Amino acid sequence: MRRRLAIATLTTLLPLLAAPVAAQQPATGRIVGRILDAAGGQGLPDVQIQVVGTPTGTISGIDGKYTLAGVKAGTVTLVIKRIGYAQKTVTGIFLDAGKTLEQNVSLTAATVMLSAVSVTADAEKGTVTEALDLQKVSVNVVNAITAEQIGKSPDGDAAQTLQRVSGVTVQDGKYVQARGLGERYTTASLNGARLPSPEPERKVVPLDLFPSGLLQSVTTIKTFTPDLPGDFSGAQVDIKTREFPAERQTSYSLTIGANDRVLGKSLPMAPRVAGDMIGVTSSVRNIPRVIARTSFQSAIPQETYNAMVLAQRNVWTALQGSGAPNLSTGISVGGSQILGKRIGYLVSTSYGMSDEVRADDRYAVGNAGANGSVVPLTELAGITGRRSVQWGGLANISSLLGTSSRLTFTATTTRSADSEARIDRGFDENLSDSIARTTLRYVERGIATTNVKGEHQWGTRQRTEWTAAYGYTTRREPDRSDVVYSRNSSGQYQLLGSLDGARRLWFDLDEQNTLAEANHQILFGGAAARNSVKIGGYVRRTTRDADAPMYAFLTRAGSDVTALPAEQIFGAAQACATCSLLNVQPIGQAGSYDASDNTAAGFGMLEFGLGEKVRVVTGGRYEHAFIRVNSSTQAGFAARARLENGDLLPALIVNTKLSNSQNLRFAATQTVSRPEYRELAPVTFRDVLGGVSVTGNDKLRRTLIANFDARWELYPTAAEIVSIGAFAKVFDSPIERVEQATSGAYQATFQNAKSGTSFGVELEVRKDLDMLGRLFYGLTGFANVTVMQSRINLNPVQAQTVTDTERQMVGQAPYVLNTGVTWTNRSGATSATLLYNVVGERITAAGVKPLPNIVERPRHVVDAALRFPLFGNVTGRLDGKNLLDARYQFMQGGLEREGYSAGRGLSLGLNWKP
Amino acid sequence: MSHSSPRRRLLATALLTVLAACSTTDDNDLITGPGGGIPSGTAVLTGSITANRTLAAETTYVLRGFVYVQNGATLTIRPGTKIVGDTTALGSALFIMRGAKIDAQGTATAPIVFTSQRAPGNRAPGDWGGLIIVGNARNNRSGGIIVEGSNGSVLGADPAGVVYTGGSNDADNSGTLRYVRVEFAGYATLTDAELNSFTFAAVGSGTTFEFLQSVAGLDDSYEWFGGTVDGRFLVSYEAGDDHFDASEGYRGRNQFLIAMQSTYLTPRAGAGAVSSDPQGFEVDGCGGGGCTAPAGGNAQSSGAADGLWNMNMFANFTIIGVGGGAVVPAQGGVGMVLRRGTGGHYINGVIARWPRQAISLRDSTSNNRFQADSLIVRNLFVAEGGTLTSGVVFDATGTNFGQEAAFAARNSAITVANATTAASLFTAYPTSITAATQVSAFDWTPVGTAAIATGGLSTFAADPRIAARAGTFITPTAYRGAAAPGGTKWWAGWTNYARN
Repeated sequence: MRRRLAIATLTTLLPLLAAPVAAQQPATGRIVGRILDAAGGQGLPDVQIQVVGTPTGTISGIDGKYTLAGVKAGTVTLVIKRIGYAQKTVTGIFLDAGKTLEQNVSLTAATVMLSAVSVTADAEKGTVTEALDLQKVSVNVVNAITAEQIGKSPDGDAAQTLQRVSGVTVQDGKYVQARGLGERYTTASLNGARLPSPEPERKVVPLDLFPSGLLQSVTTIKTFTPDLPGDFSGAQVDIKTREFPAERQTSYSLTIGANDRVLGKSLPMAPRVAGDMIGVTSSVRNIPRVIARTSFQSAIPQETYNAMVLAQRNVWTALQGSGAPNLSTGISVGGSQILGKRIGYLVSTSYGMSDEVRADDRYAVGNAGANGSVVPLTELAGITGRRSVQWGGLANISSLLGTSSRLTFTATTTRSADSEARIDRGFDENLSDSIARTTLRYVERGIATTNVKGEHQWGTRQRTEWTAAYGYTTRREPDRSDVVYSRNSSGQYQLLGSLDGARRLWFDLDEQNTLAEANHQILFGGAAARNSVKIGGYVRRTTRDADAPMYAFLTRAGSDVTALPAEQIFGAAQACATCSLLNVQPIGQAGSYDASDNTAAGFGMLEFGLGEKVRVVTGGRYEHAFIRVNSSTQAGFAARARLENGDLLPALIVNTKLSNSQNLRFAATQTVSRPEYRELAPVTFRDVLGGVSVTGNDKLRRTLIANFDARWELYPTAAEIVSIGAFAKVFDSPIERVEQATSGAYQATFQNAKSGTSFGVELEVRKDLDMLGRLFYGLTGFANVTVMQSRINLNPVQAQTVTDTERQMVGQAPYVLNTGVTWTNRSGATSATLLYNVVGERITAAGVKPLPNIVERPRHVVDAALRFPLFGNVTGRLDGKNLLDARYQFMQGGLEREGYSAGRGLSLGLNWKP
Repeated sequence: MSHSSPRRRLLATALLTVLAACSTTDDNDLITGPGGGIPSGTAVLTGSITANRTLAAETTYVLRGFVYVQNGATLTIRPGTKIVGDTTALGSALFIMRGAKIDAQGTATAPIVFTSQRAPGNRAPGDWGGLIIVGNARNNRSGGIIVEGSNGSVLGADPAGVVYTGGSNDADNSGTLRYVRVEFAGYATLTDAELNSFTFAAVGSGTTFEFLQSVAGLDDSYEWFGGTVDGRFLVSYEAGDDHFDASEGYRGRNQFLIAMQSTYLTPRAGAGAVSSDPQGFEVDGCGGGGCTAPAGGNAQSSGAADGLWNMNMFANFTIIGVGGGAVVPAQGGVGMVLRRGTGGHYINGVIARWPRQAISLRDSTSNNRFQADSLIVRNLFVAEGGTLTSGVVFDATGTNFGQEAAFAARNSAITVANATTAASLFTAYPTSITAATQVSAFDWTPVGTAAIATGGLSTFAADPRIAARAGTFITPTAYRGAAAPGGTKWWAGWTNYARN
């Protein structure tokens, strides 16, 4: 596993060494760019590009890309011609000697005879316009955020970026939900290839793994088309990593920051071992062999127990440290020539380290009090300190093969590690006394992907695309420790004498994904009609292994010993050759599982125009999925879950172009949502003491979702938008996490409800505020708001237990609001942005009679960002995050079940492009 | 002392039992070898039993996974029959579902035994699940609550669990258990969700429970969740959690109970854990967090409006803890914990050797019951109390509500005799108890001179509340504890004291 990662890392870094400095011609420059269809936005191949007054010319290749080399420096005029399109002349291009200039050009289809158009070069590179264009021309409902927008926000990673998208909410700072639907209805892909979930119990991708410096764009697709995988309903988030620039460019960035609840404050810290700070921890955290290899089903001699205690790392207590400033740095190098060959490349790496806190970290279990109130049964309060490191690397190499083929190779690796210590104290009702507990954990997540993509243009009418991708995901939580002391009658704290007293857990998850995909598109009818048929196939295989052995460490020693720190209770002195006080027990119902998922799909999609105004996309996708999950508990119980379904997923999308600046869209589609593997494994996972046990359900079925969308869009100018949309979704057998009341403790499991519905309205506005007067020059305001309502229809058995049978779906927010204002000076070099984000109250777990639902309270989040030129090629950025220090709160009635404050952040960044 | 005639017949039966005891063969002989290979003469019980079925003593029955006797079916078990929990299908358990009946009537010479499939000497708590009876009586929780662990990771388990709430007939009849032992049960089918040896969920008063024993279970020996069933002659040896646990509006009555804890056993590895708060009695008004609060009331007053207080009656109990300086789980070792708004009557008992304290009245809602006389504690005897805590018997001043003065104010008549040893109270009580200790080493009959031979509440006439609740089922006695001086040794012959 390590080796695989190492190779991925090496692959990422290799091109760095190979990057040469290209020799430049003194008196000439290069022009590169893309020729686009003005209406459809797609690249146009076979376009003639000629430099006026010279013999220099070329033909655009796949995707409309072209390169004009050896163009004489000075003012240049280009003439662009293609059959079926109006000829265009671009004047006033200023080309410096030895430089490369990027010039994109759009051509309008010539339905009737159009006269040639002449425009001046108006450089629009990587801008809002591009994102809105994508929104405007795509057949389905999409939202895109580009590198430039990301640059203006204080966002440090993809997850924060996505918070700005219409209807998107981000949970825990990393998990994305769209239109307030549960995270299970959102999928994520990287450069088109599915990203796997490294979280054991959730179908999510922690998008904070992707530093914003590596991002070209983040696109949120909200409507299914048959050429997309059918297992999303909220949104599919596609992260595009940066493409190479037109000429060699290097950039360095450095950011330092501080959090007002962290910097210089006393925080609990988990003792670190070698490797923690690079997210590749040392083997000292591995499960000791003597524990892993002992069969607990047979009699175990005391020496073996002593050996187990001696072999464990014996770190249980948190250190007190002082919060450090946050630091992150990155380098990226890109260009378009390697060894004189036309090969685009981008290599980028970043590293960040931050100290975080969950101050006033509270946890409570509720009980019903008088007059329907909720009173705490168990209540703990404390603090969590966390040191996170995150690094990533990306290599993207692309080359044209001939004029009609392009090959792109992308390798990425990202890794994060959180080292965390939580200490809390409080009252435990069952024990009828005060307890003090300490949890130390270290969590490492990594995703490494390699992706090869080929694009081939066959003449002017046919096009083939294929992708082969391999992804590797890991999540390890090696050697987590939990230790609980309880107060005895004389007020002294002693190690709790049960399986909850001292535990260690070794969690390990590995997942491998292979994917192959190909499609072929044939245009028919006139060139301007842009009618096409697209057919394709898709195969994906995922295998996962997850193992979570957990052991309790017990002692029979007297109160003189159990009052000591755990390091001494389980120290060498207690495990001497003649000692017979120690014992180690597996937590028998914890367990492991392995899963395999084979999904195959084929699709046919037809896109055609009805008259000039109406475009129709229709077709179907057949997806066959076979998921197998084998699970077993430490005690030896084994279960096998099999879920096999073939589903036909039809889609019909009708777009009407009301005018050049107005669109009206309708869509009706069918999609599917399959259970996460962990949810199919009937083994228990539970936090120590008081936590709810979560057990999978091997009887889960997949959910079918019918989606209906309608949307009106107005584009007053290239950078402005007003849109109003409505959507409705009907869920057949949606999966929900439910708490089950038992004669003992509550247990959580997953069940199919009977059905559910969700409908809502989306409003998006982005508008220059110039019209308000001179004072507002340079100001752009934007807002998107989604208001929705959902209803769950429970099956009779569930309805007996759940308090609230007429409620919204779990995880569904009633509204999401993102708004902000940006000011940019005339040169565009200085900008300031203020952002506000709030998500309506949503249910995180359905309450069991008589207790109310557990809900997450809205947080009012205000962020600010300032970009300014400093000197030379250095630009500065000043970012303020979470300026209101909004508290995370999960409430059950009036009781705060969970809550913490993360503090305000301020950071200063420098970016140097020599 | 006045006995009703059915009771007299029972005593006669018990007497015969004692006489026959010497000829009882060791019923463990049928099992061969460690690891529990199935010997000849065995049959496997698995899945659902939907029609009447009879189990006979000639066969050893192996419970494989969760076995459900479904609504309408009666499972008859002949005297002397042995049923073992499969060691390969961990957590195997027998569920008598609502509407089904069990008719398990052993005899003192041929008790019916539910036990581990492993050979004697190699058995441990948690070797299998337990016996669960779900009746149709009422309890004080609303909604579809399931029996803890009934949705567990066990072969054949219905993942939806077994719902026991929503019953409507307090006079419901789930059948008869007589001379039945449940041994080495208590497997945790989910993390920290151990099954009890005997789970009586919403069992109605038409049901008969007499002469039952739990041995070395990993969770509670007996747990009642609501319901109205009465019982007598109940024995509990070595529990992983509580010996007698009642909650959720249990309104049944029980007389003549013995609980004996001499050590905390090590469970079968992976089967679960000994509780951190094992007690003698643990009586709750309602389960943790799950009671319905009547308008304006407190959840722990649950059931008041419907007469569904937790109002059990326990009379003539002898409960013995580990005593001495033994290591006791963090919050365990209390003879009697009354909490979460329970009521009930606790009369004529002996509480000895509970190392942390003898009796605790936990919260204000229970205290409200106590002050209002719906929680009545009368005529108890405490010996060797608080051996870990320098003699703590009651709740300390300033903690909880069960101070000595509080009990005195309610005329509880609790005799505290910390200097008196348990051994001095009973006719036979071994000085050291080991795995080899035989059941014959115990004779719970009070020695003639012991304080417990007298001091009982010998008439209920003075307190109409007690009299009304006791009815004819609970007999007042002049003695305290589970055995009458010179009376029948009702535990002899059919109980067992094998800890492994």
